Amino acid sequence: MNKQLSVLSDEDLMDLVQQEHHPAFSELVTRHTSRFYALAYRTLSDKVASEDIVQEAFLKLWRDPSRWQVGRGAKFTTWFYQITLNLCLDHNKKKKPLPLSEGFDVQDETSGLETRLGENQQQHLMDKAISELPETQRTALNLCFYERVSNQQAADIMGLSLKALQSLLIRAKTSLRDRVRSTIKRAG
Amino acid sequence: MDMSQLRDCMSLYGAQFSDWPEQFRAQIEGSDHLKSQLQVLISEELQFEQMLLSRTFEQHNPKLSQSIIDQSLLSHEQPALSVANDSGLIRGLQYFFARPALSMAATLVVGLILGYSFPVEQEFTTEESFDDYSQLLYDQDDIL
Repeated sequence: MNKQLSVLSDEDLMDLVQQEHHPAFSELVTRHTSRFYALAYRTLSDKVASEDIVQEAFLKLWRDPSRWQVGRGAKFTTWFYQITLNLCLDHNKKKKPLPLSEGFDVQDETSGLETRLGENQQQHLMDKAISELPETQRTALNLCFYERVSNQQAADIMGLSLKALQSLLIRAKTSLRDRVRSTIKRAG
Repeated sequence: MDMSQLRDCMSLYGAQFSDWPEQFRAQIEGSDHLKSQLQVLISEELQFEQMLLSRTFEQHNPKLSQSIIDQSLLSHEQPALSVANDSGLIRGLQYFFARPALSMAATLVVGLILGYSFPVEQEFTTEESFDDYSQLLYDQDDIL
């Protein structure tokens, strides 16, 4: 039976989940845990919290599968990315206030770099620079670059128009490029 | 398409030119000038993407999927609290006490009920307190 489930689409599995078919739910969990964990981790930068969020999202789905509306033409992953992302944003709201400004300080604090960036410095620079992006830009980057979601799907997940999503993505990458350039120049 | 638009496309679709929408690829392939500019941008973008990939990422616990599946089985076996059915009662209690907020509230309610049902009967007056203290001093052959 599980072998047959593995060939079904996510949407077909959801139909079964709505009939309380637990093996179908298990198949969805096994298939997608890593994917949704990755988005949660890149949004929260916290392994334990991200695992909790993915668990919470799946358990909500199992307890109330009627939230999935059949026939809207939506993809399961788009819908579930939304659920995961909303839980992450709620978690972040409880943890800290949202940034007040969309601005991004390109000044870098990693002074003292005398040669080109080492691997650890590079990692530190990227972690810091990405964490300082406004939340919407960071989410656009997480979805489109790290999760390899199409621009249109990312726009659907974030509830934006395609143009707005693309604008966020361009601004995110431009800010990060500027940041990298300025650091390399200092390290120069 | 100018250089700025080319950069925007690079931001939107990445360094893999084959992933770009057909309309943009056609435009670039039709122009030698754009093609040469694209080569420069692609090598820059590949370096940049390499840096983006250096971002910290911790893998999840390998048992996470199984843990979710196990939890879902528990959550679906949650019956309404049934006194008539012993196993239902036990499972109901397990469900109840597995939730910190519910179990804290239950503990508080039980505490209040017990507190009001069995109040402390001994009342401690100032006079008694004084008598005890006088007795203590007397016993110790101190003053009084």
